Amino acid sequence: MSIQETIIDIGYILLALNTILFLRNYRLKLTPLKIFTLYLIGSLVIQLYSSYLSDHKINNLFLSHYFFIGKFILLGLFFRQILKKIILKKIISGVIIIVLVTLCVYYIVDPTSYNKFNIFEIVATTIPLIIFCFLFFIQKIEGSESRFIFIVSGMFLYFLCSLLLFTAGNIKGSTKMLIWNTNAVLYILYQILIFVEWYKHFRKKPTLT
Amino acid sequence: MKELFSQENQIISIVLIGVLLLLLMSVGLFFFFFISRKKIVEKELEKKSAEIEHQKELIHATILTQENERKRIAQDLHDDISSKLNVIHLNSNLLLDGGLSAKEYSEVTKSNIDITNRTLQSARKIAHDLLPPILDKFGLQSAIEELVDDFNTSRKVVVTYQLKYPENYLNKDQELHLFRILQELINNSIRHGKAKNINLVLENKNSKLDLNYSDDGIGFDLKQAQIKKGLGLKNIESRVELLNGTLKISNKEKSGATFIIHI
Repeated sequence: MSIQETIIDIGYILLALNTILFLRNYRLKLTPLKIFTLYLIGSLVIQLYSSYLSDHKINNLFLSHYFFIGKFILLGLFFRQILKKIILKKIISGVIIIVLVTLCVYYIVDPTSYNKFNIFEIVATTIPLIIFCFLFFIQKIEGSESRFIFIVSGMFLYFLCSLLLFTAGNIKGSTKMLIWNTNAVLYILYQILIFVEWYKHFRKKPTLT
Repeated sequence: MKELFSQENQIISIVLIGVLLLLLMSVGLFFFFFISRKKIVEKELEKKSAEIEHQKELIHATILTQENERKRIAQDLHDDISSKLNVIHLNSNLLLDGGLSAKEYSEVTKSNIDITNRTLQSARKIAHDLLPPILDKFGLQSAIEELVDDFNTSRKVVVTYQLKYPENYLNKDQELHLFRILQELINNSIRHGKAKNINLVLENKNSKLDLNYSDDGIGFDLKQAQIKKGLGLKNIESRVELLNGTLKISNKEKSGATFIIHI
């Protein structure tokens, strides 16, 4: 097994572990937590299916669309839940709708892009999430309550860096694998932060406020 | 080497450097975020504990005032009522035992009536001190006028005043607070400030009530008074707080004190 595969596998294992840990808290009446757990399950299913497809030498690039759009919708709703100001909630709903409509129009106009790695889609779905992360930090700067802060820190870090890596994803070159390795390392960091969130805030049954 | 410098590889290395920079920036941002957050939380805590401290002091002052008031009432009852009732008791026993001449008999009876009258007066005075009936019946303005007149007739101090109190501006409880504040202020001026003249202005400005109180006494050191937690001052402060008002104390040592209360 090459180093690259090992790094990717560690990412998957951590994702699976986090999914199981968060699933255990699924019964808590905490909507953002449920949405986030759904996102983890979705990611895991898509990752497993895509590696199954690549093992059988089938093109798995079309899965990236489901991954990015699903991630955008679920995490958008997640932020809609955890941001407190009504105006921000409205803005998030608006952004989700606008981005989805734009992407629909894009795929109707150019259906061939469905089989490609779509940079426009990645940018349109990731930048709003990075902005939402930032809004969350602004909200959290006052007050001592720190629930979801590690998850959002992880998202901010990973989305920001991976955005740049993914936009370079279509480049062909001998050092191309370096990009995917860096991405895999960052993904591990992201999963570790999700684990830290679980460890700090959901390991013991939290008191809901 | 040639391969490394091909255009695509160059772009890739730029991307990787970009990622590294983003990573550094994010980490810097997190540090900034967590440190500012910690500081803000610390500040909040400090503020809250100062508030709690203040509340504690107020409660402390309230309890002490209550105790002092009880002590005063007990003393008044003991000095003015019990002692006189004692005499009446003795006199009554004398009358009961008999064996008195007609003259003595009438003297003792007269003395009894006299002392009973004085006891009644004392009881009325104590009750009056506890809650001036005029405040309840005729309102704040009349009560303040009576209070000031009482002090003026005692000749300890000359109080000049100008009262323009719009009737029922404050409710009964609030009127009592303001009245007590004034009582405390005048008492302080006489007892601690050794003031000879007091000027008092109560007026209604821009739908707010302004009380301007000044004396020509020796004044006091505000800091020291606060360190000593002067009971009177704390008491006034807590009453002003109950009235949702503001209290300004300008005070020059040896040239009198000025209190401005804005409700």
